[in-house]
Amino acid sequence: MRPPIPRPARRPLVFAAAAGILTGLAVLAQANLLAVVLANVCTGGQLPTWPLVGVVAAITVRALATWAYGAQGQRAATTVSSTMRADLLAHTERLGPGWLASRPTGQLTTLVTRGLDAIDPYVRDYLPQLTVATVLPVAVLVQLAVADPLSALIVFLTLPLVPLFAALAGARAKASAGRQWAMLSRLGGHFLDAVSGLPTLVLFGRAAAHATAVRRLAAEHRRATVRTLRIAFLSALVLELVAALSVALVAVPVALRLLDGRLDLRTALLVLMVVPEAYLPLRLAGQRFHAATEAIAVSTELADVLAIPIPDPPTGTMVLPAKRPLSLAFDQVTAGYPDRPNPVLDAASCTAEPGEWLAIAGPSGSGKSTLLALALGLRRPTAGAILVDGRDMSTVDIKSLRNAVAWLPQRPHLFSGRVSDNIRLGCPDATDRQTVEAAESACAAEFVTRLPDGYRTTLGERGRTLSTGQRQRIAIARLVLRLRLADPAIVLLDEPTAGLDLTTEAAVLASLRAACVGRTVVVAAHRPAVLDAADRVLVIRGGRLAPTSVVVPA
Amino acid sequence: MMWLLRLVGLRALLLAVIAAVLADLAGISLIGAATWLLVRAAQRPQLAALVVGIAGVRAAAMVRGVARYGERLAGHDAALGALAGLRDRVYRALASQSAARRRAENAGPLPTKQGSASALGVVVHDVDAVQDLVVRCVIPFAGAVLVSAVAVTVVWLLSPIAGPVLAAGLGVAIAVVPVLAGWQSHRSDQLVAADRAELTVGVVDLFRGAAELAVTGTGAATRADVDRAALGLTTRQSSAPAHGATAAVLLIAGGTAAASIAFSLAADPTTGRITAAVVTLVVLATFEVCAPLPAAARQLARIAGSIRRLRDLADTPSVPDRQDIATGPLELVLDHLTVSYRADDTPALRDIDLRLPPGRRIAVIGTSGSGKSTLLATIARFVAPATGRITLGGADLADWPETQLRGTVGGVLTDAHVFHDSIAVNLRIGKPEATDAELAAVAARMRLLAWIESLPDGWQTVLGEDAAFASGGQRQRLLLARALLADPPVLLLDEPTEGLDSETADAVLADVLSATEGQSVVLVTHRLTGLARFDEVVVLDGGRIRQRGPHHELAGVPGPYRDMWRIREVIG
Repeated sequence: MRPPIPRPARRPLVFAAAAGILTGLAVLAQANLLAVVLANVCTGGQLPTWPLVGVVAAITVRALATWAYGAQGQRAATTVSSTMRADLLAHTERLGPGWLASRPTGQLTTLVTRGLDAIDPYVRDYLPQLTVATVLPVAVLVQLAVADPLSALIVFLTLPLVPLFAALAGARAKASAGRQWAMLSRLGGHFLDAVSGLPTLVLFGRAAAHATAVRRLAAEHRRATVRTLRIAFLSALVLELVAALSVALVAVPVALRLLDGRLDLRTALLVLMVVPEAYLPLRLAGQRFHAATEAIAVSTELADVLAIPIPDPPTGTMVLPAKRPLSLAFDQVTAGYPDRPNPVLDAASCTAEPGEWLAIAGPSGSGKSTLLALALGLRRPTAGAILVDGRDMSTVDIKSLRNAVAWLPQRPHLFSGRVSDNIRLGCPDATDRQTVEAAESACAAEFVTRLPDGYRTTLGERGRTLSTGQRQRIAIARLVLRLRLADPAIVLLDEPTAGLDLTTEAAVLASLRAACVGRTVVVAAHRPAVLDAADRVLVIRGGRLAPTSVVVPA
Repeated sequence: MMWLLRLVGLRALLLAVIAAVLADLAGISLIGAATWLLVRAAQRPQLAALVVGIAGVRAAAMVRGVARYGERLAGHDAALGALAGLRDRVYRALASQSAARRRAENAGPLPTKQGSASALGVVVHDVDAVQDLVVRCVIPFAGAVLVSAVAVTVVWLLSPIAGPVLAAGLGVAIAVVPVLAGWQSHRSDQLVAADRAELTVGVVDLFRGAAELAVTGTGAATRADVDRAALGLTTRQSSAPAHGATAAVLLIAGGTAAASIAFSLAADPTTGRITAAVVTLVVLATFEVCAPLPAAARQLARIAGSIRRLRDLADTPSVPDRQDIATGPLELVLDHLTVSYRADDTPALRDIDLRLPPGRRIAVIGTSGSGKSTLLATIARFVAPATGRITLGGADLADWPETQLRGTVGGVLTDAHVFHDSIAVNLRIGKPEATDAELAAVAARMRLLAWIESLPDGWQTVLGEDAAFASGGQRQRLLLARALLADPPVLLLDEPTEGLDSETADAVLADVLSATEGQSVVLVTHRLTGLARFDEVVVLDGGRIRQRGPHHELAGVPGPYRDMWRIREVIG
């Protein structure tokens, strides 16, 4: 679909189109005045001052209008793409964290940041040009008809050939490209393939020998592409020829009529200068057409996201009592994913009581993380209910629920910013001392203090990257700080010691147990030490929770 | 720049520039000839006097169209030639770099699949940018300079008054305006890039951290950051100096030149009347040739970074391989091996001792982050030891010539790649001279043969990212078959059953173990199946060896190994 043009973008777009038309009219004025000047000069008359001043004025108007065309088009383009970006961000916000958390977001991020750039040339260069291309040729024809009807007729008859030939040649090129596309993309992609496979080639000692294949396929890619282009460029050839030949077609009869004295030189020069202007806007619009194709692709992608229905907002109103033990129960809960035939959780039930560590074990993909997402209200069950403090979670105010919960996700996200800000997430008022103590409990302090700027070290895209184990420890510090300051009743841990060595794991588990005394803890795990630390272990089998006994360590 | 021009191939580039010049000159001649024709006709000579003009107008029109087509085609051919030459050059540079990596200090952590993919994306993008350089920068500039030279010469000959004015005007159009456009674009692109980076960071936090923000109730602040960054980007983009500005300057330069030429020619009694008219319109037409130059300069500013990166890459000298060295029996010995990716970080491997005599099989197990993959990468010489040493056949691993080493140590590492090519080609990466019978034999050993033969295109079936394997098991089997075909004396296998369901994983592992009877093997795995068939099991934890010994010994004593078994029985 075509990108929607929001109201604030319409004004600059109209201005841009008007500036484009003004440019064309200034060109006509310039041609008229220049014809007067040159005709006077050629017939040996005096140099007329006013028309020459007029030429300079017309050129100045052209220059200003060209400037305005660019500036207004750019403004419209930015308005369109920023509106689309805002729409997309607003829609993802309404879709909610559960939606975002359950899928890879790389493509969506690209769309929001870089993808919308494809809209700019479409709005800036193509859209105003479309209006100009419909108006200006008519203006030129009118000018010609007034000056010399015969020339006007020739242009009128050849003008439709431009879009006609462009369409014909375009269709031919498309058919040919379609046949060759698979081969071209394979030849073109070979370099990427070879470079991505370089470690494999090095390992097998084939890296040097493979260079021959890279060279051969690159040369083949060149030959095949040029074969396709020979046809693809035909449309441009036809347009060039039509425009150039039309000048010849008009100029020769004009000259012959001059010879007979049926036409004056001024008109003849005017016609010569004006004729190419009739074809120019159409050719420009044609050149910029590919911008439209890209913009349509991006805006379709965007429309697909905007079409995803928004889930009903949570309606619960009951406010949970603060700072009081709360039990957490799953009652015949069923939940699944659209791309899987069977539900991950199938009437699963269990209860975690205050003061208890309940471990949920099971192989990866068995539904442990889904269970935690349900308890956080990030997902909703398709059947059954989650009970907090004996009350159906759907009747509970989601904000008060989340105030009562602390969560350590399976793959914690570290935000771009300082180490200390990452630990303080959700507890912005924590003191430096509290932050450091939380890091110490999470065994994070030993590596943080060795970082170049300690707790002030910037993390993320433009900062330091950490190893999986280090990231995990920062996330644990974040959790510990929240446990100490916000005092949540329910703690949900997803593989809390992933990426940690056994010694660190033992220390971290001891801190977590100490920080969780009296709370209701549900921990998804498959590491021995975590299961051993739990009071009770349930195993997910076939979507249900079954009790099990972990053998007591010898 | 010169190194690039050499890559392009002078012939293709010359052809494109000649066509461009021809097309532009024909366009200018068309106007010149037509003007002459009209002005001369107005003097009412005999028709015969106009024939040359009529022929000239028609010829110029035809030549312009055809030459423009030729320019496009030759230009793209030259660009693709540059692309081909550059791909070859860059590939060879990357290949010799990755082979030579161990000689340098370790630059950073083992590139993750994502990290190296984005680095590769940069290289591939840079190489593609060179196409734009040829078509949109080099050819327009070369064409404009040559056409201007011709136009100035001709106009100067026609009128010594107009010549210098045209030369000055074109100087502005070719040298001054594009430089300004390029500088301006460079500056505003940098600012926009900074704003965009800000936005990207915010959006990544907002999307990837969505759940954590919601649960901690801190989403509003991040959302506000993103909105602020988006607003900043929008403001910057819409206030970016308009493309129209440079076009306007060009128009004024051309218009002023034409008007002043018209004025002085008309006032000059020595200049012919026809010449005055022709020269004025030719001057205007010549400036049209310069219209694409500001855009070309902007493009050049945009891809300057790509060109710099490629030049640095292509400049890396390739190191010739050494002579083969004499070795004893191929025993692999790791002696107090320590590996660090960063000086100020905890080492990835600490004080590792390991002996792998010929024919011995060792399994390495441990949690993620325990150093398993680093161990294999170090043995494969993709990572250099910080302290301690590795010897193979009595010689230090670092002293092994590349070719000899790759014939001795091989296998399947984490980044094993399936090439976008046929099954046969993919297998022959392991052993290029393998006969069809050998391929069939190794496929049979990895139980792939029936599947391959059932495919409509058989051995010629094209694989790759988008080529659907019937299952993940087949992909792993193919990677293993390729490694077995190469048949290195020391076989390294990193999680060969990763991503498979447990039944398939057990079946694949059993097949590998049967196929490698009597071969030296180091296998990294997170599964416990089949460990009884290894001579030694090594449990890594935090980069150290925590436990080692045959399965039956380890399973009998308390420790991490027995804990893993205990849990496996519970969870299944």
